[in-house]
Order: sequence, then structure tokens, then C-alpha cells
Amino acid sequence: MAMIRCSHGHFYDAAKHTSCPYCGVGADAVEGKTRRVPDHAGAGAPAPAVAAPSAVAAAPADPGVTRAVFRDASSATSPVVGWLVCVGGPDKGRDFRIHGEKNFIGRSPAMDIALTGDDSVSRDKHASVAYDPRQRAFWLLPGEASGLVYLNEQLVNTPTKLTSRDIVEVGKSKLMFWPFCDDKFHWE
Amino acid sequence: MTTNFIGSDGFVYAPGNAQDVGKREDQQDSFGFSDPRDTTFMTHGGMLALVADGMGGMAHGGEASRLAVRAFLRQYASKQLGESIPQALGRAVEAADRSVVEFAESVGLARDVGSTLVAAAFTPSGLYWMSVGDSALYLCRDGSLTQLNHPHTLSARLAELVKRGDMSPEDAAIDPDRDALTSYVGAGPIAEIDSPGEGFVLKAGDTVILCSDGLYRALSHEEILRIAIGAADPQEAADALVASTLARELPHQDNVTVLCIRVTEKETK
Repeated sequence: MAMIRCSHGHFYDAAKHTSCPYCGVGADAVEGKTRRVPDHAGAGAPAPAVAAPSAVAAAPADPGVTRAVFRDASSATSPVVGWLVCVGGPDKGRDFRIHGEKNFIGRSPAMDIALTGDDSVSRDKHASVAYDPRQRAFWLLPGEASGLVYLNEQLVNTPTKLTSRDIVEVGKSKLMFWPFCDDKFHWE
Repeated sequence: MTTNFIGSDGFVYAPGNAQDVGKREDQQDSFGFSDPRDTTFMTHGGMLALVADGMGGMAHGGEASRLAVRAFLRQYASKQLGESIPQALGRAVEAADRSVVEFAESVGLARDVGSTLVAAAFTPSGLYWMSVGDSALYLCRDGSLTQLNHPHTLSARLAELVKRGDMSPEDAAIDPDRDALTSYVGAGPIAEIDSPGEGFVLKAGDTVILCSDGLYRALSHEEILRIAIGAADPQEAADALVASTLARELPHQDNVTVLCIRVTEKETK
């Protein structure tokens, strides 16, 4: 059995499936993100018989569930193409892997490069680092959040090419860029 | 391609995983393994396996458990050489909690969306775990099945009341909320965490199972044990456990997720 691991940490038989069967149902609930569930706010779980302040009832099956837009979660294994190493700020000493395409930087743990210890970094998409496999080039892009991003102390307003040992600055964090893929090596 | 995790402790950890939606509309369970190719990380962080069982309406429960697994894996992967396993697991569960809280707030459902989480780290200093909620961690050893983690359900508290003589066993057994969770990720500060300070020593031949409640509400411990040790490899064990669960044809079969890890000696030449 040729078991392989997808980028989300699931094992599957590559001989049976062309992509990870456990990622295929990744619902992103695009519409649901901005709406409350009808009748949910006032309903509440029934109070337990014994005082248990944090007790909640396990979610019951909801046959009237609103179907959301489904996203085809990327299931391909994405090899490392470079690193950002935190050389200043609350996460100093930690390294972050850069994978192919866009890597979002933010404070949220859901970000690709999650600076969870730096409160001055925007939660989502403070900035991003993109790897272009065709040109074998790395780019720093400003994010959608209000926070600013600096490259070697210069404000980044447009996609800017990264070179080895560049310093990316977001919030109080300084990240040194270190490429793995370059003109000498790249993933086939 | 090999998918075994080669430990620096003389063990090989062979993983298997299986999942089914059961009779539910959507899959609210999530799971994940760390990357076996990172052999440097294996020398101090070991192999991580985790299961999360989300709760919440629409697709929110599924998204909550997915975010929890992703945040936990990511945070644990940033463990540095000098950081202890319990510290790294603690940091990871806090990140999972924050991730679900932020998601819940973003959909206007603070405290109504959450997830259980059971994570097991197979490290050179033994097996560590981090458990919140009622997902289970079992050890199959020498023909018996032992639950290693402590479930956070009201039934555990009711059992204490029975022990103290403050409640009759009959009343505890019929309490309608006995399966309600007393701790979960996504509620802000986590009410209860089960995580040992020291590693549990594994031995060759052990099989470790992580699962959501969809498994143990359908199959008895005896059945889980028989199926797990009867399988040729951990993937077959996980597949067989899910297949046996579905074969019960329970009318309200919950999502079921099973991870099996079989421990063997590393072959020496």
C-alpha cells in the first residue's frame, strides 16, 4: 500500500485516491461566516442537572443545516522552499517554513506564518511571502490588514523581490529571509 | 514512499487513519499527523497525532475542529530543542483554543462553537498527551485495552457525586446530560486539561488508538481491542474499526474518526 501524507497531515492510499479523501469535504462556510444561525442566539443548551458552569451540550445533528459553499482544499504535499527566521520580537528564535505560492503572515494560528506572540501584528494577512516556481523567485507582498510591512526598513507598498538575508518587519517582529529553492536547486 | 515515523528511541511508529461521516449531514471531526519526513524534529518532538471533534451548527463544528487541528499541528511543529514536551503541547492547545475562539467570534457564535481535542506525542521520552473533551486515547497492550486520558464529561463529575454518596448510581446513569462536555477548546480559557507531566513508557507491540466518540459509543472496549489487534497493520485496524462501527447501523451514528499507531522495534542490521 503506497500511503502518502497530504499537507494537512492525513494518510491515504495513493493507489486508490488521486487526492486526499479526508480533505475533500473542507467546508469554508463562506456565507455562514457573516451570518448568525437562525434561532440559535436565544435557544441555548438545556441547563445540566448538576451545576457545571462550563458544561455545554454536545451539538445535536441539525437536519435543517444550511449548505455552504464548498472549497476544494489543496491536498497536494507542498514542500518547503525557504524559511523566515524570527531574529527580533516576541517569537525571536523561531523559524517558519515558506511553502509554494502565497504564505500569509499574521497573528492568528491559522496563518501560514503565525506570529502568535506578537500582539502588534494583524490577526489575518498582515503581509505575505510568495514563491514563484517559474522564476524561482520570492516576493514580499503587503497584506489586506491595516498593519504595515517593511523590507530592510523600507515600507513595502507593492510586491517586492526578496533576496537572502533580507529583513522583513511586521509589528515588533523582525524576520530574516532564507531561501531554499534557487537557481541551483528547485523541486521538480 | 514510507510513511512510518522512525523514532530516535529505537521504535518505529506506523500510522493508520480512517474516518466516516456516519448518519450526520456533515463531517465535524478532524485529525492530523505531524510530518514524518522531519527527522530532526523527531529527535526531540517525536511524532504527533491528533483528533478533534467539533460542535456547532451549520458547518461551524467542522471548521472549528479543522482550525483546532491545524493550529495545534503548526504550533507543536515550532517546538524548539530546549522546550519540554508538556510545554509545547500546552502552547499548542492554547493556539488551538485561540484559533477556535477567533473563528467563533467571527461568525457571531462566541462560546457556541467548539471542539474536543486529543493529541498524542510519541517522543524519545515516552508518550505524552493533551486531552480536552471526550475524544479518547486508548492503549492496546498484552491483550487488554486501557483508556489513558480522562474524559471531560458530566458523567465523570456525576461519578464523583456517586462516590461521595451525594447521588445514587441509578440517578447518575439516567441523567440526560451525562454526555455533555465540561471542557472543550473554543471557550476562551480551557476549563480542564488532561496532560501528564511525564512520558508514559511504550513498548514494542503496543497499539495506541485516538478516536472521536463515534467509535466508543458504537463499539465496546472488547470489540475495539479484538478488531485492533486482529488487523495486520494499523491502517487495516483503523479501516476495520470504522467499518465495524458503521456495520452497527445505529440510527444516529455520529461522525467517527480513528487513528491507530502501532509501535515496533526498529530493525537493526
